[in-house]
Amino acid sequence: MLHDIALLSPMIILLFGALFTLVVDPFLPTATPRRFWGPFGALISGAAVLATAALWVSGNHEMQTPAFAAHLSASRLSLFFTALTAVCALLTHLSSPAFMDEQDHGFGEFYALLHFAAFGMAVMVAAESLITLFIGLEIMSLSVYVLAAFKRTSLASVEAGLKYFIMGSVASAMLLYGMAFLYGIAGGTTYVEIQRALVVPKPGLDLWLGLAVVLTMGAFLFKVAAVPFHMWAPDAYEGAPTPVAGFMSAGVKAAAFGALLKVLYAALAGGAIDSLHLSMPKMLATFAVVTMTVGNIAALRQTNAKRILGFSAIAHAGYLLLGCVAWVPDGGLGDHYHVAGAAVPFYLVGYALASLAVFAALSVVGKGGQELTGQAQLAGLGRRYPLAGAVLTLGLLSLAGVPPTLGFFGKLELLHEVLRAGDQYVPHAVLLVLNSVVAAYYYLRITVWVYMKPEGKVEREYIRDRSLTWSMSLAALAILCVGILPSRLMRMAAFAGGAVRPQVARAHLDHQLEVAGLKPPVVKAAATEAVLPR
Amino acid sequence: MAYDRKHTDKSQDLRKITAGLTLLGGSWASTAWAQTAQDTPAQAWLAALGFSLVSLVIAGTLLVAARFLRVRARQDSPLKTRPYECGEEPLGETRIQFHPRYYVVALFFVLFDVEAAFLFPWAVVVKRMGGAGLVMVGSFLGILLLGWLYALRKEALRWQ
Repeated sequence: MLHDIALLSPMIILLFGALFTLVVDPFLPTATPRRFWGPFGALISGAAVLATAALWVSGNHEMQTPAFAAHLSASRLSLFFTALTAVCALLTHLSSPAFMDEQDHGFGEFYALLHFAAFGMAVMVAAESLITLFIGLEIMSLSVYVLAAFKRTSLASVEAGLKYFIMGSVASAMLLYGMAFLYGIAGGTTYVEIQRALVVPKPGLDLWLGLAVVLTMGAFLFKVAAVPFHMWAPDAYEGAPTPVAGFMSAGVKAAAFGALLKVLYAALAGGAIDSLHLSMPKMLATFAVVTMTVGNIAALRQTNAKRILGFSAIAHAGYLLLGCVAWVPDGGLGDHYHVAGAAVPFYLVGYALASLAVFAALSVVGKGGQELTGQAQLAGLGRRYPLAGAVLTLGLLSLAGVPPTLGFFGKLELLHEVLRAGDQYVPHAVLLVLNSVVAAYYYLRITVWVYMKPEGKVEREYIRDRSLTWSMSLAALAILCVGILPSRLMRMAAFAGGAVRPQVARAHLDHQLEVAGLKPPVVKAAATEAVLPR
Repeated sequence: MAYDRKHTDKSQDLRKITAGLTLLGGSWASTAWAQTAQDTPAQAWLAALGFSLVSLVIAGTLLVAARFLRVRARQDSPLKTRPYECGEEPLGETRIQFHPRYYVVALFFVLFDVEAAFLFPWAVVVKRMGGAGLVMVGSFLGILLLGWLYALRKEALRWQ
């Protein structure tokens, strides 16, 4: 029991932050500015990161350490993604107070919702069962819907929230539908049970399994804004308050990919799923390529920086999706431990930091309720506010994948892994490279607006705020430093990526034993053990 | 403005009666035919077939009947452009504002309803779970109470 609660400590810290903010805030006088909740939230998120680090350092994570009757775990993968989402929350907490105050919407609830969203993300990536995954997903999504619509006097913001909400509820319904089928096939909701049920081929289940996989994957494609379900992303990113848009593109994406990796490889991969396996990776890889192409081509003609970044988020979802598919060659086991599986977690760190840096730097134009990020509004930013211009450029270079930054190594590793996954992915890899070239055009275009376009006669005011400066500098420093010395992060990402493999291997081993007429070791007992003491 | 005879075509009455009779007769005949089926397997299938036929006939008849029975407003009549509210008279504007206080009350009801749903199972095993259970349920209730405190403080429960 105590062990279980120790595994929960990052989530407990985030939840404490949320509840404390929510309850204390109404008792403060109305006139008090709510700015201080930002640094407070950053402290709470920082504490969550530290707790995660402590869990990472202590304990044996080579096998999963399931808790709460195998509904949650603190595997390296969970911990890696918990830390990443908490870092996203930290930077958002730092970059939003000044912006939200300028927009006249700096209420305490904003910060409470950020905490709740981070809490939901942590639950989502630590989930080891479909139910827990769904609860985490809903806590995160509901908070982010409200955050996107938080500037409720602005039509664009309300539209962003509404679109995100409606499309998101459809995706949740799809996910539930797929989960129901998976539960029907496996007879249990934990990933272990599903994995073990799928390893043994059962005739006649292929149709239902296919349906379950398609519905579940569809919901995830929505959450990461991949192609058949990407239409909400540009509108939502453009309308949402700028720091929230950064949080959406970094945190939500990281959490969704963390959960997707677990569902794909801890629950679905291996075994019977491979009887239709050749179609599942193919389907996802095709969607990935279409996603990156659509995202990049649509971004070329946009004239608003936030909208460009919305489309760029779609393109990055495509890259990452390809990384997820190519992670393990079709058999489910493939080449064992070395760096395999490092690419997606590693790339996500680079992407999250870069997009947080870019959105933080873009939020400086939000002086006096304005929130325009078109070419005319950004012109002259580089000269009048050198830090914001530099951070923006650095972030964009990292998104484009230019060498001294973290984004370069992310893309390199991703490409490497896609190529290593097998010859069938060579065309996809070629398209990935071509897409990166196209993407460089529109990223650099924003830089051109910032540095090389003539500024108008109007003297523009920018938000200058200490915590915003902290946020920008931290993100930029991380991009540069980890970009120059990536090996430690790479090793951690490899640990994280390796975390779900033993489970796949174990399920295969059990199946082989069963075929040989031997009794597999009882792992399931841990999964079905009741919480109640006898 | 009431549902008004003078705004409708009067030539439709005969067609209405005919269509109604067809509907009644058709469904009676097909049901009677379906009832002749007995319980051996082949005949059970026949019954299923008969049932489908009945459904088809009823559905088809309804579709056809609707074509003849509907009240046809003249092109120039205000009935044509009026919102349809199940035969009720529309009252006032379409765009009105609802006061959200019912919403808040409903939300609270759902919240504490669910809470009760979680408390009952605990009540059954309260002795077996002992102190640990008390702590778990206590923290659950505590979190809900914090939410209630927030709403109270925000005056969400004040009935203006």
